[in-house]
Amino acid sequence: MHELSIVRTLLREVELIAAAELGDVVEIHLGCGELSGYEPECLRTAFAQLQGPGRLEYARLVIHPIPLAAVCEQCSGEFEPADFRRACPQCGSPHTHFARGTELWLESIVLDETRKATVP
Amino acid sequence: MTRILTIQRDLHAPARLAADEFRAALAARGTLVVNLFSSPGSGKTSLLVALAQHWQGARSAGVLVGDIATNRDAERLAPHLPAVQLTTGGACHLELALVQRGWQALDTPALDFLFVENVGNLICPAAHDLGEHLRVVVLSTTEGDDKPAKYPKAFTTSQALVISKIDLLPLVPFSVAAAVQDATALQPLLTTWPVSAQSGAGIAEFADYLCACRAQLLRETSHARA
Repeated sequence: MHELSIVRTLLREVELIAAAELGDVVEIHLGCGELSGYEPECLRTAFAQLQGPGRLEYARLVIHPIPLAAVCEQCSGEFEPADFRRACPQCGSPHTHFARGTELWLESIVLDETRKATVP
Repeated sequence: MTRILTIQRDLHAPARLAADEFRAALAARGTLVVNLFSSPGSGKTSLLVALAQHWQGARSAGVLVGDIATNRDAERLAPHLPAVQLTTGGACHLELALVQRGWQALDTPALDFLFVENVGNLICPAAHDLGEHLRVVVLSTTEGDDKPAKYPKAFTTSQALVISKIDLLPLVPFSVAAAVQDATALQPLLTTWPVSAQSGAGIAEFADYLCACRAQLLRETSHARA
């Protein structure tokens, strides 16, 4: 399981943002690519393990799966590779690249600003 | 009162940028970086020893070898190639920072080839860019020909497939044709290299392929400079 280190990076980033915005984090929305190398279930486990006191104490991790998408370099068509097969289903070209689905994307965070005035 | 703050940031982006920089720096030195990965025991180290014996010093190569524990692979390689052991202490794959430290420890700046022998694992290394120019997945005949279909990510992200231990083909129920068919259905550009490190079969052909890949990298790098 290698999700711990990326979740640590995530928590650090979100903590910095929350501190700058003077809010408590209610939700963290993460987009998880099918070929990102990270499993949503393992990300949730790592998050639960690392979540400590502070602005992220009650934050909920919401994970949106990002399906793999490829673009054909021959016909420019975009497709979702079925079972990770990367040849273009339209023209058959083997020359394709992944356009989406390899990323782990921090999409947004939801902040609660009610403590804004009292918490520095 | 709640507020939604849009971020839209790829948490992988810093790692990807660092990998691109490493790739470019090694290309500028004329070094082809090869990320070798497979299940444990598929014969990655034996393949590297066989390559070194084939080249007899005509090509310079160094190895960064990843394992969970022990220096055994580096010790096995040491009589043949300069090697640095990278022990991950439990982690399931190598990360770029470890590779960069290993490359510095190797202290041989102008290699023809830098082989990164990943931790034996067909799953996690597939998702980690180590700044390589070429990704080679090794599948041994004793593992079964169904592995490309079962572990698609390893094959769909690679450029070359080495089928190792072909000297055992008479003894094991492994169809090279079936493995290649499943693997190329995932990645049609995959080139296949059946080898035996024991008998030496196929090693010369695979070595020539690596040299051709390096020659192409050098052409592309000099084009980029011009």
